[in-house]
Amino acid sequence: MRRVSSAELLSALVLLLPLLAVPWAFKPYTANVLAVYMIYGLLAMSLGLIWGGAGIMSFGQTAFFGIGAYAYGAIGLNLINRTQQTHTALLGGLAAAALLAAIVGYFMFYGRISDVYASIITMALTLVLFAFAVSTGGDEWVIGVARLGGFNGMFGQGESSQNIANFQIPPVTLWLPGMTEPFAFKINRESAAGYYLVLGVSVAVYVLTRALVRSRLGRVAVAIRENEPRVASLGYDTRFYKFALFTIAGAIAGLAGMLFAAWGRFVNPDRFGLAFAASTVVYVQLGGRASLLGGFVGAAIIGHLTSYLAEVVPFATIPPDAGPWITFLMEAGRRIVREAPLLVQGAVLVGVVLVLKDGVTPPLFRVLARHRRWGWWLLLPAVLVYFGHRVACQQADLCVF
Amino acid sequence: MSLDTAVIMVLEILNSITILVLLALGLALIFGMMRIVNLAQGEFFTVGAFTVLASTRYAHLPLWLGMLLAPLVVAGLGIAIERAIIRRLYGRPLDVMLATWGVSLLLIGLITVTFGAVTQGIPFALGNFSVGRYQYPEYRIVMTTVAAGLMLSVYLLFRYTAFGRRARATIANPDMASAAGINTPRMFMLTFGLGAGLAGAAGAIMAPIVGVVPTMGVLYIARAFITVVVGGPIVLLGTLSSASALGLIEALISRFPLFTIATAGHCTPPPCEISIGGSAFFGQIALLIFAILLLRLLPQGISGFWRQRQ
Repeated sequence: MRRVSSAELLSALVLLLPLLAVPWAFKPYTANVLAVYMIYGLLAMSLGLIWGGAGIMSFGQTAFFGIGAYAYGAIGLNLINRTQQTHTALLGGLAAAALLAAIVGYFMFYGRISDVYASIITMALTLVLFAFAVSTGGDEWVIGVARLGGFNGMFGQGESSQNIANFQIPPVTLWLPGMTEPFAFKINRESAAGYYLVLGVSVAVYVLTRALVRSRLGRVAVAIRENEPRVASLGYDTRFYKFALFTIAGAIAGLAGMLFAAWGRFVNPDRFGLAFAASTVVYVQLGGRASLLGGFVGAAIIGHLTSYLAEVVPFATIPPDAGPWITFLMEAGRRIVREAPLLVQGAVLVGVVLVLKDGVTPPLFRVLARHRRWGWWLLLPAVLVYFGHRVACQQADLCVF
Repeated sequence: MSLDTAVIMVLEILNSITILVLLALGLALIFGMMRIVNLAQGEFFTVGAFTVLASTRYAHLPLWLGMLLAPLVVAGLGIAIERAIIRRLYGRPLDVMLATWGVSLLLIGLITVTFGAVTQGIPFALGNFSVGRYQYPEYRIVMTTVAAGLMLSVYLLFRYTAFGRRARATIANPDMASAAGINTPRMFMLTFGLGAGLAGAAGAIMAPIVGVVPTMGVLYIARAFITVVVGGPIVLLGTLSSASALGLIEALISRFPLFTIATAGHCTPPPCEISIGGSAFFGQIALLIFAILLLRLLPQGISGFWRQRQ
């Protein structure tokens, strides 16, 4: 067991090194995409923490993500022009997500609702928040200057000289004592600070969560997952441990949501939608819930797969002289590609449950732990070759695969 | 409140209850009898609605024939899914949930590929009748009748037929039932098919009053699950009582505004305020909050509470 988790840590380091070099080696686009994969990975890790850790399946982890994003956006839009920084917004977003998770967790775990019911309640919570966020399109739905905006997403509203002007959610901006001017974390041609912020937060939260899993809280949670009545009969208040872990996981999901709102400078009701909730579960399921790294791995695999599918099948216009069968096949292909994310997620969920029960990372770590000699000598060059190839492909157009 | 307003109010509460019963019946059957959470139930509902759409629009069948066809098609689909996937996962409740969610996403995707993502309507010929100053749709009365009929037939089926006795024996003690010569895998398959068929019937009945769109199941699945969870372990009475309690709350909050909050938006005309209550959306919020509070008090649901008291 010890060996497996040290394999996990070493693989995390092997993945971290190329990630540190990404802004130098690639165009800003790549850093942008990888940043959002890491944000999704962070969200998936929060789900993996309670699912793998305590056996609580939350379909509504995205509810806390969305609440964090909306709260960060609302506070940030209101305060950015006055204070030039987003410290309050960061605290507020984190507090909002943790508070919502604590309230829902209190009712679920202190009510002794069974695990299956807890999954249903969290799912209902997300769907109701989706319905709420969608119905806020009217002009009356504002918080200070922040318009909730319904389907169109959140924008700030200010008076310019001619009419009402819109402005976007601010990026994470720090203005600590001793700094001469505020510093905004952005990802563009000049700066990769936003990318490093996401990477740094991911690493820090990963390390902290690892420590949490090894602490008393984490170990009791694992015991609850394995046999709750026995843990209770040993004198532990299982309700409290589940509640605490659920609240912490909600706060991590909220943190990911804030990074998301700051990354895209935008948030809309899709974050509460079914597709996003499904994709989060798929990341954890595919990556493996036994390891905290699983969520990141799953997010990267699914992200690559969907964008690859979108590139491979051409969106060419159907030639006018094509026969009926060609027209039919091209139209069908086009429609399938348009629905690819849903179809891929559905197929992965069914496939992983039936075939690969624990996801991809546990077998990988087991192999690395058992065959340490050649396992690492295969993994390291593989990562280097892949990374080098991507660099050559993007910078010099030397693409082999 | 004048008499006609009161009558309309009662009819609207009855309509809320009807919709919840229709949505939850098949789900309660599958969950209560087989102890599995079927997240594809919403898509069974959708497939039922699309069967009506396809048979009336593309095959030009009469509406009632399409509505009779829908439960059969969906029951067949349910049986196929039970044989292909769920059969392998009995005893792993969480995995059943994930697999049926995968099925649900696949079905949404496939329906969208086939029919497109647009909302389509199904025309029907019934009109309104008048209650004092108000008009009320006749079709809603038809829906309530059908829902009551479905509940009664499920009750009679499980209470008085040989199939019902075998199914209940299988649920109570699968090993003993199997030893007594009952083909238990077949019973599970048929119960699942029946639950799916009921969702198909609900989709078919509600298709004319809601827009038919591939994601329509998602809108209802949360309410259906809440109804089942609040109902507790006794399938029919639990569903009926929780649907009544939740439907009452939903209809009342949807109808009456509670209070308003003034905001600083740029509205035309100027007074900018949010009205809490008085719309279908707040009815759903109230339903969720009420359900969570109720489960805090009665963790086993309403019918579980009765069972404890006995």
